[in-house]
Formats: sequence, structure tokens, C-alpha cells
Amino acid sequence: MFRIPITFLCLIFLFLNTACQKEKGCTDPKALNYNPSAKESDGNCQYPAAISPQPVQLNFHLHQHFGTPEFDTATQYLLPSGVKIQLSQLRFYLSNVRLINLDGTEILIPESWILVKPGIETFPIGTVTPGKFKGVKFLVGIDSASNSGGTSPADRPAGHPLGFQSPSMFWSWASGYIFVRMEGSVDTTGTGTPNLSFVCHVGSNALKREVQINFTDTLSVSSGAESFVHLKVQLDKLFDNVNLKVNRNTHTMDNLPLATQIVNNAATMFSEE
Amino acid sequence: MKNKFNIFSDGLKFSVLAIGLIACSRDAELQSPNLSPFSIEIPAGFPSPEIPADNAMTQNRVSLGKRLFFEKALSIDSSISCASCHFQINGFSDPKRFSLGVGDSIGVRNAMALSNVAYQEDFFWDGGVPSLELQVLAPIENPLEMNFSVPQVVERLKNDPSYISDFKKAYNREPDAYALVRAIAAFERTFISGNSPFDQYTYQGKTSALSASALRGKDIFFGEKAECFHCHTGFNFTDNRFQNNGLYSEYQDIGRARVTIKSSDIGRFKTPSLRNIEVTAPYMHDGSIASLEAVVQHYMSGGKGHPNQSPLIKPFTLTLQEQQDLIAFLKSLTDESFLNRQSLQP
Repeated sequence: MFRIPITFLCLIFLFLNTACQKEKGCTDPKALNYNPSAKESDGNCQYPAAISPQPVQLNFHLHQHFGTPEFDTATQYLLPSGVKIQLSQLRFYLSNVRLINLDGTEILIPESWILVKPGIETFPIGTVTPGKFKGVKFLVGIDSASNSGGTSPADRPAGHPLGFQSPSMFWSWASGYIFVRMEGSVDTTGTGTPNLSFVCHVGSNALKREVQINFTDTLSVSSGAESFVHLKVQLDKLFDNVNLKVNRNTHTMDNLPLATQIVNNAATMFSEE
Repeated sequence: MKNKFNIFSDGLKFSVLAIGLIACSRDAELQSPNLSPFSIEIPAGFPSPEIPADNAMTQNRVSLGKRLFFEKALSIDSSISCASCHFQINGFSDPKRFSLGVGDSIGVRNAMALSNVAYQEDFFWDGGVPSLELQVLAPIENPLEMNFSVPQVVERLKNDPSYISDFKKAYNREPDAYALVRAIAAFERTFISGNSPFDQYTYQGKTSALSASALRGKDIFFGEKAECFHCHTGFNFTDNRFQNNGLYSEYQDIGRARVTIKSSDIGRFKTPSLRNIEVTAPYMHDGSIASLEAVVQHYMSGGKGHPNQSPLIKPFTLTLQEQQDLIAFLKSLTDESFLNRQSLQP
């Protein structure tokens, strides 16, 4: 019973091999060099530039500052409240990036999930059709469908922003991403040396925050070159109205007021650069 | 079809097929996992469980899942497996109040029984996880349980050629997180328990399966005095919802609220199935009640009166005989064939 299908499969295999020798060329009738006798695309179709601009890569170029200097995890920073802190971890997600057309309509960049980490400036957003844009919108956090829609890091390939991270950016006990993960130590005694640790892991659908940046000059995305949205991220704003001396820890559900303050702050820390 | 090959002599036929097999076997192995289906035996009175489209039940998936369920390499120091806290003889629960993780770290909630987990919609006492596949991640990563990371588990499995082969056969993939969580879920979906004396009496026409005491207890269970059946309802004796059963007036562990951040969910925990309840002691989310007798006493007391306490929890009285009858009925939910089923053993 099993012999016949296997022999048949082999015949198909042979047939496919033969097919490989068919004429190659441009198989798209809309292309300038369309070859009607080509049976297989050679990947070299040429198009009139005006009618089919190829999507181009769009990236965030982020400068992460803490106060005036650029942020790093080796430096101790003095908050405006006079409290000295040092951060060992500061990572956060951006998602659902939309470019705003000149007429005010929005273009969603599909699958735009960005994990912002210290020490990196360029973060790929996705591909976008060339055009002119007057602003950008995005979420701090992960869009609800991707956050709690039943998928997890196990469903993503290694290296994917929503895949497994070290340190982890996913709560396996509540199936959701950690939108903002910041950890470090704080000087609670006034000696000038951070002495107590703080851990803030903030997430959940209700705590994603929308950010809109209007560009001073129109952003022109043109074919053939990568494009960049340049933003300054003022990380010290995360600590506005946060008294780390007395309120140091949140895993969101156990200290919702602090978690909420942090994401509200996060929504204010972006500006055009 | 067979006649077509009569033109070959037997020897020629064999050679041609042999060449065909050699030419194709490598390709076929690489391109399709073995999809011999695994059919779950659905007990009388039970619906068919929903199986995710991307994790159809196959023999090889269930076998791989079983191997992983008993695999200690899932924990950081290779000291414990899923089976270390989910014992078949206890309905895949843990007789300890709080299970011990790696380095004997102590958990914070009682390990849940896994009978009929294929029918569950939310996982853990607070329902924080929406699928059996996703559930697999939590014990691996919990510092009080296996205290490890899924990518590191995967690295270990990749170093074992027999796992590379088993993952290939099951999911046509190298060992990875995708297949790891699906395989364990596939195995756990075979934990079907539906052959207790209650089932035999109700669905299999065995009128002698329940004792007179259990039959009297059945009336109490389904009666309006004890009200048990409102929450412990349906073929699996659960409403699959979250209830505050008045265990405390103040909850250290806020339960469902930890996931939803709603104060109306404080002290709510998932209604557990009562199947095999006789062997899943201790009881409640924190294992704070040691015996079925004490559980019945708790419900008779009417609860501690937390603001979110279910209105169904109110004081009632049962005679000692009635209490014994109710417990006899609960014990009729014990499915010995499930607790001893060979196919669930390593």
C-alpha cells in the first residue's frame, strides 16, 4: 500500500527538477522588462519608479539621555529631588508604530515591536512605502493583541523582540510582556552612595501609553535608502513624582500607583531630535 | 492500482522501489513530521476537548511530551521535573501543602491537580495564563520552582541526539521553545479522567457503582442546601470561573486580582475540578485545609465574610451522617483507572 505513493512522490520530485530548467526572467506583467515566456522569476523585474515605490527600512535613531549626559549603567545620577541612583537595568518596549501622512491619516507599520536597551541607538521599526510624513505615533508597551492574545516568546524565533530575552521581558505566570523593566539602587540615607535596591517591572494592557511626536520638518522617506526617525529619550523623566526613598518596588499588580506613575512618565520622555 | 506493477518481475519491482525509497526517504523525513494521530478516548458524558490547530495530537508529540514531563533537565540543577510536584497517584497534584522547587525552595500555592486539564480555559489558581502551551513556561522560569530559562533548557536538549530525533519526529524542528511547550501540552491533554464510580453510575448504566451513602451524598451535593453544584458544575465539576469562597476575611494572596488589578477580584481563585478530589489533599489555593471533612466544615460555617465572598457561601447545617454521605459522594469521583493508567507513566 505504501509503495505506490512513494514512487509517485519520486516522479513529482523528478518533474520539479525538470521544471528548474525552464526559462527564467521577469514574470510580473506590470514590470518594464516583463518576459511573457519566462516561467520562473529571476528576481530582476524593473518597475517605473513612480508607480511602484519599493518599501524601505525605517528605523528609530534614539539618543537616550539621563539629565544632560547620555545614559549608561555605570554612572550614578542625581535626581532633581537630590537622591542619587544607579540603574543596572533599563529596558522598555515600543510598538504599534504609525507614521502620520500630511493629510493626517496614519500608516501602521506592521509588526513594529521594538525593545529599547541601553547603549544602542538604531532600532529597526519595519518597512514603509516612501512618502512624506508629518509625525509619528507609537505605544510605550506592547499592543494588546500581541501582549495577551495567546502568543508568547515560545512562538517567536530567537532574536525576535518578542522572543525570549535575558533578562526576561515576559511574565510567564500572567502571560504578558514587561513593558518597562528598570532596576538599580538608590541612596536612601543621604551618604551619596546608593544602598538599597529598587525593582520596577511594569506591564499589563491597561498600562500601555500612546505617544505622538509631530515633526518640525516633514520626514521624507524615499526609495533606495533606509530612513530614520530621530528621537531624544529623556530617561530621568521616568522618576518624576516618584519617591524612590520610600517607594522602590513594583511588579505592577502589587504596587499599581507606582507602576502607573512610571508609564505616565514614560509617555513624556520622547521628543524630536 | 496494484495491477499496474504486474509488468515488473518481482525482483525488478523490489529494486525499483528500493531505489525510490533511498532517493526519497531523506527528503520525506525532512519535510514532514510523522503525523500518526493520537486519538484521545473520550469518556461517555464528556465533550471532545478543543485541540489548538497548531498542536494536533500525534503519537510522537504525546511521546515527546511524556519524556519532557519526566525530564529533570528542565530545572536549573537537573533536580526536578514536572512529575516532581504532580504525582499521578494524587491526580497529578502534590500531597505537600506547598511544593518544593530546586534547592528545596518553597512555593506559595498548592500545586493544582491536572485531571482533565485538556478542558481548562485558564491556568493557575488566578487564571493568569490562557493556554496549556503557555502554562509550560511558568514552572520552568519560576525562581521557586525550576528556576531556569526556556532558552537554556532548549540548549540542553539540543545536546542530546535522542531529543533532536524526537523533536524532529514530533514537530519536524530542532529542539526549540515552540515545540517544547506544545509537546508537554499534548501529553497533558491525555490526562482524561472519566471512569469513576460516579461516571459508571451516571453514564455507563452501572446502578451498583454508587453506595447508598454516596447516592444520599449526591442529593446533598446537587441540592439547594449545600449548593455545591452551582460552582462545581458540569461533567468536570467546575464552572471554570473565579470565586471567593470565604476562606479568609483578609487575603495575603489576592488571587485573581493579581492578574486583573481589580479590587472586585481580590480573594477570587479558580474553581477547581472535583475529579479525584479524594487524593488531591490538601485543599484550597494555599493547601490550608487538610481533609475533606474540614472542607465540608468550612462551607457549613458560611465563610469569613470577605466583601467579595460569593453569595452562595452562607451557613448551613448537615448532620454527621449527611456530612459522611456528602464525602462518600465526593470519593465516588475517584477514577482508579486514571490514577494507575500505564500510558501516563515514564
